[in-house]
Amino acid sequence: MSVDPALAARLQQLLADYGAKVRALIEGHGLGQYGIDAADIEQEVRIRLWKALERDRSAAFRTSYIQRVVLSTVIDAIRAAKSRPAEPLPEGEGEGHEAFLARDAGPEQTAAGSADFDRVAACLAELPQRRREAVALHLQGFSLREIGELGGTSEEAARKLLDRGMQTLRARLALMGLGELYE
Amino acid sequence: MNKKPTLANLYRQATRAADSAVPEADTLLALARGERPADVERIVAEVAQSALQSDLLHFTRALEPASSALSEEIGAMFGEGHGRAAHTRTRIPPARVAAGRWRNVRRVGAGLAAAMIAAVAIWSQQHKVTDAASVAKATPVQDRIFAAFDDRVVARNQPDQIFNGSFKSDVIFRSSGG
Repeated sequence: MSVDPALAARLQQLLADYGAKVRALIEGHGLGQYGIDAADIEQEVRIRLWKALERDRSAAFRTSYIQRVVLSTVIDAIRAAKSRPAEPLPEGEGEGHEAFLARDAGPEQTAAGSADFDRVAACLAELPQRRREAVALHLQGFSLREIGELGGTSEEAARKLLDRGMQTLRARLALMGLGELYE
Repeated sequence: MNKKPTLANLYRQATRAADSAVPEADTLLALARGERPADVERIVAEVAQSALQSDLLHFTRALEPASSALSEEIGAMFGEGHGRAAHTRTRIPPARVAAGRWRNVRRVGAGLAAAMIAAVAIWSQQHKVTDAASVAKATPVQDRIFAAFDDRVVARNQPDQIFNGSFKSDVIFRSSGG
């Protein structure tokens, strides 16, 4: 890059700081469990952004562009990890609640846990679609606002869907002797 | 650690283990921005059933503030650079500025003179044509064949000599002749 050394140093520092934040976010969101290395991602993101700056430094470095660079790097790494022969993929993907089944469960997941999940999945499958979706998104850690956005409804509507869905789910799980799951 | 799993933990563990497709970066960005792609229902259903996709979506949202800050900082750095370059480009020595100004005045003057000459030429050409036309109108050449019908002749009321009432009658038919 034909920029003055001071500017280049500042850019390097900016990218280093950003890379460190990306690494922290990867670790904080537990993305390492999908077979990727946060340090590798950090390095790769810095290289890709630097190359992009070299190509066209007059181009506006929009937020969405930077996010896309990071996401592409993470997704590429996850795909590479998934295709590694050391980690065979489960055969096929089930339909409906079958897709929830832990066929390739980690060592922490016991047979009892798997059976519990089968029953949870069966209860979820009986819920109306919109309530099931709201409950599933809630269990995946999304906030009411996010559930509303994803479902194309207001936060209030999302709250009602979630409340009713959770109420039904609790009642059914209690009947199956799984009420303690909420503790 | 024989802690009983919560419902959320159980669900996430199960959906993490299930094989799910890895989403595209643009899909995640659209969802994180609150946009709704055409097949949003299918995408959201996949996110709900996949810990991987959910984690990536959480990560995408969390990435926004740091990315926005970096975008602004890089923009500010290059914005300053562009500003300096523009300033340098406009700094021209005063002598060259003055020379350029006189050159411009000469160009404008020459242009005005050419326009004036052209205007005069067009004006004089038009006047030549109109003078010729007015001369032609003022002196119409009379056609002598139909001169009898000439208004001026009629106006003068000159009687036709053949049927002139004052001609001397023929003596043959003179009543008093004999």
